[in-house]
Amino acid sequence: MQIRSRPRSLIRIATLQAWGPRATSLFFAVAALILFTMSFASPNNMRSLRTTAADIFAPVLAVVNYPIEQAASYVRAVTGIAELQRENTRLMQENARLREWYHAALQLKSDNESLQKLLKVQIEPQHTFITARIIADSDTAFVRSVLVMAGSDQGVDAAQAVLGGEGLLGRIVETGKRSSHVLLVTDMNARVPVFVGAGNMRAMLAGNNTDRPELIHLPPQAQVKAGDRVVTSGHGGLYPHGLPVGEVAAASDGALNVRLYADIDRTTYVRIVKRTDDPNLRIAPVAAPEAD
Amino acid sequence: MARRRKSRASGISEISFSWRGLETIIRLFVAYVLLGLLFLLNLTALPIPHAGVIKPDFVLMAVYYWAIFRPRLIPTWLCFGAGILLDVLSLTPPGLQAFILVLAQSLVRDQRKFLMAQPYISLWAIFGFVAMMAAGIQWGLFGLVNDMQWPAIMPVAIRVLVTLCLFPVVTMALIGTHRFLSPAQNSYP
Repeated sequence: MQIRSRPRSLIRIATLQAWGPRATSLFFAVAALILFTMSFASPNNMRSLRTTAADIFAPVLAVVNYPIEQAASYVRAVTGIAELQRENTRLMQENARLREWYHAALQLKSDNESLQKLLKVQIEPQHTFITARIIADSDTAFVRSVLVMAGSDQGVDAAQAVLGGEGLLGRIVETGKRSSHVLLVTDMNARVPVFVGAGNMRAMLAGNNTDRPELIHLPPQAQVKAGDRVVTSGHGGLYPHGLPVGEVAAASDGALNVRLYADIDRTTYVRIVKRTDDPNLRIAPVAAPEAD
Repeated sequence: MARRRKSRASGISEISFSWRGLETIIRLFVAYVLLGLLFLLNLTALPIPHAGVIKPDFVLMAVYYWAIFRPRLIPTWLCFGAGILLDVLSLTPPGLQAFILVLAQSLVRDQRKFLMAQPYISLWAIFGFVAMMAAGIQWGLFGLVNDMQWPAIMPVAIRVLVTLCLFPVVTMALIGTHRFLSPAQNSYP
């Protein structure tokens, strides 16, 4: 009589337990495979699950990450004094050299702006950034991504470009309320339209799960040499135009790899580029003709 | 009546039993805190070069160890949940790591009596085999859902190697926790 009065679900669970741990394992293994297949069939359905989990775990990961980060900076400070002295000398020399370049750049900028004004070229707006801390690192053999402690509450939106250190690091792929997943440019599924060299040759930067992504889809007559600068082209509208990416590094097998300016291993904070508006649809303001 | 008298007579022992229960809870809490830390270590950003590739699979180590010595400490649902969380937080397809962890736990648990009789070095070597199989299955399944494109095998192999090398360090902490746990904890039937 007691068994009859129990809810059916409880009876089912009891029966499952009676089958033993093997049946339980089989049940969960099948459930995992079903979820896996579902994620393959409709990846977007898993997005809310991912963002919710990331939002819940973000504060915990931030707390865990903080002492590790502090310990690392302490170790770097203690062990790197000799290296710091060398670095300081090198930076002082570089600074003296760059000061000359700074004045030249100011002059060139001024010339460029006046020429653009004459030609009525729409000047790209200055980028604004959201700074966020990396709290989780899933930069693994399978997926190259990081979790950052900023989400839609801080103004982060999907597909925004992310800079780390001196160059492009990746883009936002999923945004929760207070955390976001960044897919790194090194991931095998990442593709970034870029310009290569002074001639602005169009190419595609393709991640390959190594630290040096490849340049593909270059024009057949393209003459690319090691050291050529690679910047985002802005084609497709995902990435803004002109973000620094890296330098061409000749590979031994003939493939063209890119040495990235951003070093993920040394990056603790990232800058998320805020979208002003669609760069392809920006309307140029009518400039008043200058009277000479 | 006899039962009632017996229960009244064992009042003090009941109190002492509850203290023992509290002690067991505290001991279990320590074991679960270590599990939680290993889980978070698998996710958190470590400030070392190539951290992502060389970061060992801490959760697999814990699942392997407890599947042999305390199978009830990590129930299958917890193993599944941890795997799902690892998947959703690291952008891998949900179910991938959950499947690997549940499968590894089930296979190791089935052979636990044999494994318990083995010396540590054999357990270590068998863990190497388990870690290699886990990484291999993960690599194969990942490629299936990634437009039939499989990532390079070398970083996967390096991760297995690092996991294997760090296994003794993690098991030292797990053995310490194991000793700390009271023998009253349920063992696997």
